[in-house]
Amino acid sequence: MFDKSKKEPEKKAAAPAAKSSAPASKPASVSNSGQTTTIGASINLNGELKGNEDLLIQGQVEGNIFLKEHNLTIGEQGKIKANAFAKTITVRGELTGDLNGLDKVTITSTGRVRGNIIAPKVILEEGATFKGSIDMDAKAGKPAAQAASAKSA
Amino acid sequence: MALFAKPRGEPQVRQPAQPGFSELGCPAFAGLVEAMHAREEKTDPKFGILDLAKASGNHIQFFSQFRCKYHIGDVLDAMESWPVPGEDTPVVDLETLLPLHNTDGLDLILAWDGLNYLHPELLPLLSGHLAGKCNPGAWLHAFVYTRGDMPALPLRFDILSPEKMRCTRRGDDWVGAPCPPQRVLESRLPEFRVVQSRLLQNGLHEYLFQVSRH
Repeated sequence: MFDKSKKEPEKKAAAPAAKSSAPASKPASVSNSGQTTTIGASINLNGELKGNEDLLIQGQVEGNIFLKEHNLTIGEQGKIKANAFAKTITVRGELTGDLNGLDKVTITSTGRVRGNIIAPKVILEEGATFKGSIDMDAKAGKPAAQAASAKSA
Repeated sequence: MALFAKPRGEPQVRQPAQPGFSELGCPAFAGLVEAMHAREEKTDPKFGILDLAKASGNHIQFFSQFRCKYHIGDVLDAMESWPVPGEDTPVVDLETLLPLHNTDGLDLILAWDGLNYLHPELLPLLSGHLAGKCNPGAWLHAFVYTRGDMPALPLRFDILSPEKMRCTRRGDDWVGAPCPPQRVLESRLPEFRVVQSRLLQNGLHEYLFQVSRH
């Protein structure tokens, strides 16, 4: 379940984008690194967010987030009050709301989530904080091998 | 009224006689998992599971083999914010403490170590609250101390297999344990009846209850 081979590429993808919003002197914080768009730490968004590319949020967002076939990452500085729908969702910061991950939802060791999760695969790293419920449907979302490995855990 | 008992007396610091973790067999839990698989083959249910402990990736991973809605209760987290017994305090609002919205009913409650840290007077309240959320035949699985003392903080349980768990102690402080005998425990959880009970190697008593009335 703690699939490192899948987790590493996510970190790499997020890293360049995070750098772009890191310097405090830069006022604008919405950038696109080619693969991942970043909403920087100084950005405050209220409303509905839709897109067709991967998104890293380091700022504050209230509302709903829809990234149908793309990946959403809430960075360590991100504070979100929203329902989110994406292919994969990774939470390293704070999120209050419901998460719907088509493939999986990951809450990392720094992540804090209050809400409900619907995903075929949910990963909760050591140190992560989560309150709410998780809707898991092993038969619908998992290849047989994954279900078998969970059985032997 | 307080929901949780504070540890009785001052924590005693003592040299750990055992390492901070141990592995234990859990035959009742193994039987429970088997029963869940059997129920799954017959009726393809979507289990409602309530874990009273903190969210654990290990538990979630294990139960992801079932179609289920897995609720994190994390009731012990609220322990610090509730007043000590005897103080003139409002009645416990379990609906707020344990919100179980959008659930089709619970089929399994995991009370791993939590019952040891709840004030005995409040167990019947919790029992009634939980039983009201249970589907017929729902299980409650618990570990209860039988020795005179217990760690000041609840153990962490990791499922290694249906037959085996690892329990990890956090800190070296110990406090008095309530150690209720089975008949006392049953009287405090009147909506549940014991269907299996085993004394385990490390002094924990493993109980499997089943809801008997709503």
